[in-house]
This record gives sequence, structure tokens and C-alpha cells, in this order.
Amino acid sequence: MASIRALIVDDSSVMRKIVERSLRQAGIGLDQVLEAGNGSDALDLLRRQKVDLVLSDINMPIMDGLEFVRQLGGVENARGVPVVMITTEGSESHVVEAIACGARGYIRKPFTTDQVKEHVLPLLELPR
Amino acid sequence: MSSAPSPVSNPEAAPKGAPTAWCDLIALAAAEVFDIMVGAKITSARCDRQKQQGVTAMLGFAGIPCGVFSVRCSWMAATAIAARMLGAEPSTLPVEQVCDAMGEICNMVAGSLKTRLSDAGAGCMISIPTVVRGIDYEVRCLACDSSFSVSMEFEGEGVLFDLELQSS
Repeated sequence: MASIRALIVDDSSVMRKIVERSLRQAGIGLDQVLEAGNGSDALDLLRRQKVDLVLSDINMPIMDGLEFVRQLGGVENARGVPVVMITTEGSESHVVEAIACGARGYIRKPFTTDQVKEHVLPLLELPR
Repeated sequence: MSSAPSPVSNPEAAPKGAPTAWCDLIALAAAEVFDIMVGAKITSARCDRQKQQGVTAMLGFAGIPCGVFSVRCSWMAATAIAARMLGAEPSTLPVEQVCDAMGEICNMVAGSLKTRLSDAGAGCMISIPTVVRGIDYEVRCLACDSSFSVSMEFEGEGVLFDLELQSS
């Protein structure tokens, strides 16, 4: 698999680092990792740059992850880019809501590298 | 992961007067978070509440239940937790990163509690965590009238998990 550009959206800088490390440990080649602390900053970033994968928290200040995914459809650079939610919000209703908003995967915190592999790798192998 | 052993299965380790159900839930969630995200086991332990001052991460539950959940430990323990989470040397970590890590620990343990409660039919939301650093301070939930406390040990240092709830 070729190296990819990933965007990690989380208000915790510690969690952004852990997600990046988990992607690398899962064997996903990362050409570049972009970071944003909330959904609004992530949208601004995606208006300027293209990425191959987005991983986003839900519970964030300014703009939460669900609203971010809802608004992604309006960003040309982000069309077809898989979004995986990584969040403590693990109830079934949240999973359903995230998928309805446009997320393609859902990982509950705390997570293992195997879970990242299981939920992210298949999305990168799909044609976009 | 429900296979994680409950660190409060020993009744002696559970705080007196606290319903085992809440304490078991907290201990199970904490053990899971430490196991997976910190890469360390935490075990039940009695610890002196006064000695655990240094940093407190807390967040609010709104709905059912309604209250405040907090994680408290010494600054040394918080730094060790953050270092393990990030795979970094404790001496290299800035204050902000240690506080951020404690906020995430609080967030993940509370999130795990919330998920279990939601699956059981309760509906609530959790706030973004707040972290307080310092000594000689006290955290009070003004509207809460019941509290559940679980004390655990991480690398020889005490870590306290407190849940204060409003009953009506």
C-alpha cells in the first residue's frame, strides 16, 4: 500500500499523537499527518489540502465530530475520503448517528492497534 | 473489555458505604483504559486522599445520571501516566501534555461508564474534561448528594476515581 496523507481531528494533542502512532503500528504508511483540534479547523484545513483518510473524535469544542462529518460533503477536497470516528462515545445510538452523518468506520476509545487495523485498512483498499 | 478483572472484587478494597455496582463499573472502566492506553495494570489499593493532590481531571454528566466524575493523583503519577501513554521520557513532557493526558484518561473512563449506562437504557451526555493542577485544593459538586470512590494504585502511586451524583 502506498503512503497516505491522514488528518487526525481531536482536541487532545496527546490523543492525536496516540492515533498517529497506532496508524503506524497498524502498518499504514504515512506520508504526512495533518492535525486539527476541532471540526471547524479541520474543515478549513481540508479546503486547502487533500488527504486520503480522516480520523475524528466526536466530543470536541467549537464544532463536534458529527457536525464536522455532516459538513464534509460540501468540501470538494474531501469527497470520497473515508472518515473514521475514534471516540469515547461508544453507545449504539452514537455509532448509528455517526454512520448516518457519513462516517465509514467507528472505533471506541480505548482502542488497540488491532482495532485500528481492522477498521481502517479495508477503507484504504477500496477504490475512491 | 468486560474480560478485565475487577480490581474491587475484594470487598475490603471498596470504600465503605459505596454501592459495589458503581464502584465495580468505575474500576472495570479504569482497568480497561490503563491496560489498553497506558499499557499498565492498576490494582485496588487503599490510599491517603490528601497525598493524591497534584492534579485532578474532571468532567460532568448531564441527564441520567447527573453529576461529576473525577480522576485525581499526584503530579508524579500523572507524569508517569502521560509518559507511558506517549512512549516518552517523563522529564521531557511539558505541563500541558501531562494535563492533556489526565483529561483523556478521565474522558475515556467516563466514556466507558456512559456507554455501559446507555446500553442499559440511561441517557446522558458528558462534557469536555477540565484539569486542575496544584496543591491544597478541594473539588466539590454543589448539587450532588451521593458519592462513590475507588482508590487504585499505579506504579506505587495512588489514583483516585470519584463519582458524585445528584439523586433527583
